[in-house]
Amino acid sequence: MRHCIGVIIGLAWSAVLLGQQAVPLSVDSALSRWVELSNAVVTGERDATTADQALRPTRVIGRDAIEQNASPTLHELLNRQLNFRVAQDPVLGAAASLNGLGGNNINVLIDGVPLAGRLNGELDLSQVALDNIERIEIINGPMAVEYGTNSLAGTVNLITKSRRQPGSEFQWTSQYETVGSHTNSASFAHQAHGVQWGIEANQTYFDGWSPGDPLVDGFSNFLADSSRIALWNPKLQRNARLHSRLTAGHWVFRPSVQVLSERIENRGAPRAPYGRTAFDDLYSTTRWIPTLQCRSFNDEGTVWNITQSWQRYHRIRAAHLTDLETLAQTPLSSEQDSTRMSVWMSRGTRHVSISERAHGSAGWDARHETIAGGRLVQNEHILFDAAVFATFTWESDAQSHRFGLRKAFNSAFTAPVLPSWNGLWKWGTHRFRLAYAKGFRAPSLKELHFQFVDVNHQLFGNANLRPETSHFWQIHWQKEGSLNFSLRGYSNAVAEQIGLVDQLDGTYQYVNFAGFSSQGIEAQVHATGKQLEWNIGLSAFKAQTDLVKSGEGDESAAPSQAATMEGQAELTWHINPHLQTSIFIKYNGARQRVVQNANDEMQLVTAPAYTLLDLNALHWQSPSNRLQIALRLKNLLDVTSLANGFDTSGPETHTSGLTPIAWGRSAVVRLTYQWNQNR
Amino acid sequence: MPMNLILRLPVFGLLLFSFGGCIEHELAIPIKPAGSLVTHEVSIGPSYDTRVYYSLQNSKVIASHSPLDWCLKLSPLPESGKIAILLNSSRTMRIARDAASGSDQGLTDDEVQALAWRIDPPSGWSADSAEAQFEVGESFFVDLGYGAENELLGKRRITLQSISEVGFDIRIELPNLEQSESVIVPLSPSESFAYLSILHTNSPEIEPPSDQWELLLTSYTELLEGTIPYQVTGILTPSERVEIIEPVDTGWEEFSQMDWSNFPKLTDWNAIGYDWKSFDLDAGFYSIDANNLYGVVTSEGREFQLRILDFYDSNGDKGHFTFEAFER
Repeated sequence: MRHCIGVIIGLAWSAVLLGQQAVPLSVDSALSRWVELSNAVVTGERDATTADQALRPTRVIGRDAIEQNASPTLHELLNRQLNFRVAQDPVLGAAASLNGLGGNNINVLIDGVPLAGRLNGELDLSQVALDNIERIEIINGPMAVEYGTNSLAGTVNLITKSRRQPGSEFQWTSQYETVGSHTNSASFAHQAHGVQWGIEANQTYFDGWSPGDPLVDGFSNFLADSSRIALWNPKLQRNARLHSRLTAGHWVFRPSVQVLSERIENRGAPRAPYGRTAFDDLYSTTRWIPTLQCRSFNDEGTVWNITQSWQRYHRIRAAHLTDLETLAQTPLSSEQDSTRMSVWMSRGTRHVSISERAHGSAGWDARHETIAGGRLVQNEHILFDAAVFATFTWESDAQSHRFGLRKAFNSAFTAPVLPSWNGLWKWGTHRFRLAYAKGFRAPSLKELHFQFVDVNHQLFGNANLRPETSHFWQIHWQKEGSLNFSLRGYSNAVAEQIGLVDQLDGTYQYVNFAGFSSQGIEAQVHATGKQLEWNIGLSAFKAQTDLVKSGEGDESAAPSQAATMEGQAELTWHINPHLQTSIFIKYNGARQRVVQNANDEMQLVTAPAYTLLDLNALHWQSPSNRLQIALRLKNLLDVTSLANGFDTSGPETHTSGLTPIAWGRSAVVRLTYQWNQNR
Repeated sequence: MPMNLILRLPVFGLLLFSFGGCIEHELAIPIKPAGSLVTHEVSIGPSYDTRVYYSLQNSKVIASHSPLDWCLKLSPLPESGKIAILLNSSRTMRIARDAASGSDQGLTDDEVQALAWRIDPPSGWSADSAEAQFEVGESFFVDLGYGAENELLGKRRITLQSISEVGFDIRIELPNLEQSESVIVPLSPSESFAYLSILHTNSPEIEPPSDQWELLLTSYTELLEGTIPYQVTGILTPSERVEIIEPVDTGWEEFSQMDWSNFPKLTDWNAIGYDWKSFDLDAGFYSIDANNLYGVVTSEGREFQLRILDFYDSNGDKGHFTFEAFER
């Protein structure tokens, strides 16, 4: 078997290396191949294509939808997408789950670069600003052949803005939300003589929110009394991005650097009995993502597609005892923590056309990850993963098929060969897709080497963890037209799930503890009329978790979980070309999970259903398109927290038992001014 | 100045303001005047690595020692000829009787694991409890619990070889009967107990005379849901000499004026215990319920009123008890 795989990958590479050389193109022609299509899909594709032509069913959230949603960051936007759930942790941030799988199993990419900085397996999606995002592509199921690890549930690829025409443009956006949040962003881009460059900056300030806060919360200084605490911690977040695009012959280069700086204040309650002091935490996060993307083109499309990046992520927790009478702070030496991650990645793909109907590609994907911090065995660890992959695509007018294989070499464990197949049949306006993919997630360095011991905690990583693997099947039917209809069914079976498990000796350790499977069905209808546009989505999925301590043979039968229903609808009224209004509703059904209680018994925990209702009261843009004003009323049903069903209170401990979902009702006013030299 | 530039200046001004303005700042609360409160401060260390005996009568620490200094407290019971054995619950020590007492056959690890292990009840033994009593000649197994770095300290078989006026003759060996050694534990003429350290094979003098202290501040073992051992930190009291009163929904001043003779008196040694504080998992810190009031009544008839105010020192380190107490 191994020899066969080696031969297949070897043949693919031979074809690539012996393939035809790229033919130089004009600059304009090369650029037009980059991302020019409206509603384009690039994730996992050789060139930008339309969603109906893509081999994988892809949900595309365009710039208009992002602005209409009035969400400054990714977490709010995903919370309003079908099959996504987003929960808020006061300290770790916003974490999403997709089809019941979350944390490490959702791969979040920015222009194809996986985002680093997972804490407890979760990326803080509230750190991902959307001001510079052109569109978001969401693909369900693993994309391990192209992107390697961390995508068992799906991939979210954020495509950044890029100016396409010569000239200059400037945009300024200011947004205020009545919970006490304001976001300001500015960007400038210029293109001349084949060189494009741009700079973007944004700042979001949020003054914190707790139930009982006034409906309209302004910004004013406050006394250090009991009003200082907030369920949603106050934060100040700044993002900047410098980017460019250069063309040389048939090559296009896109260097960029993106910087995030975030400061979260977790203010403690004034301490009894006199309220003179409080324990406070300050979480400071910085993330640098320098990236270089290079592409070459010939008459048939992309020839080389190379992405390099070197991310640095640093998060510091500084705990203080604050004297509320003087605001002097004394550092708590035992409560300081720092996590540093640096990730270097290089991915390159060489595409060749074997014949008119057959295309091949082969490439490499290497990733070198370093993590350092106080809560690790030996403080610093390195993981290196290098993979070769190859795909073969055969297409005719009526159908397309793509087969993929990936073989990785990892410094910590043996990675399996990962196959995938995607089939697309076209029949008039109908599209029928079938897909299979084997998924793979390597244990993270934190899961392998975590160590945190104090008088209250004994948490350990596990160097003997095995990777999670999955088998994903999907069937999809789509009917294009003024009434766009799609139906999708899928099955995802994950083995060797990793989690933190009570060892019943006072310690917790990461172990391969469970098998997880889910089957689901999803229907979407999108219709566009003269003035009305509506979008309805329904989904149901049934998940099953079987708790197993792998290798110990003590498999246990888990209680059966009920299916989870979700529904979403949006109706937009285009009053005239410059004015529109819309209403949005999303129903998240009750969701069950299996957990192991203190007596080592498995029990079902149910998170109750909730509904999000937004009214996009006004979205107006001036005839010159220079000015846009939007007013959105969010969360009209005032959903804030959900009982998480966990009884984690015990001797000396207590918790609210609530998972924050959203802050209460709010109104958002957004003002955008843009100036474009070409207009 | 060109008109265009004049028109754009406010825009740039607004732009700069939007990135700099509207950020809230915290203001200090007014300084509160100092009161006449008399507080007591005792630290058992941020890692809870000290056990402290405290005298309310003298407002001072009488003695302190490390949880690693001792393993068993032995008290002869002259009437029955048996010995009552108390475990060091600061290390979550466990004990199991040896069904083949006196046997020269050691046990395998699996056999040791399968023994009927128990810990001491968190409230202490009643005076006539047979479970705590062992006969001369009997052997038993002890699990030495956790060390300073939370490492397991291992298990031993202990045999009570003899008892005399001078003390106890005790044999200590591994469960497989290797590394056997004997130690003489002298019995203090002034006290009716002795301490044994299995780790150091000696008999330390660690507990001050019982009439000199009322509070023992220490980590100890509670039973979660009645079965799962769980380390907590709190205050224990010597039940043979001290009784505790716990008023419900009573204010500090009101309690000080009340007649305590009508209150039920608790003799459990964890009557004050640990639950005057709780660890807020959401905030990550301990918070104190200062509404928990305690009356401490000694056998000599002295009455002290007590409430715990803090569990942190000024540097934010845990294990620093601050409590208000006065004698009525």
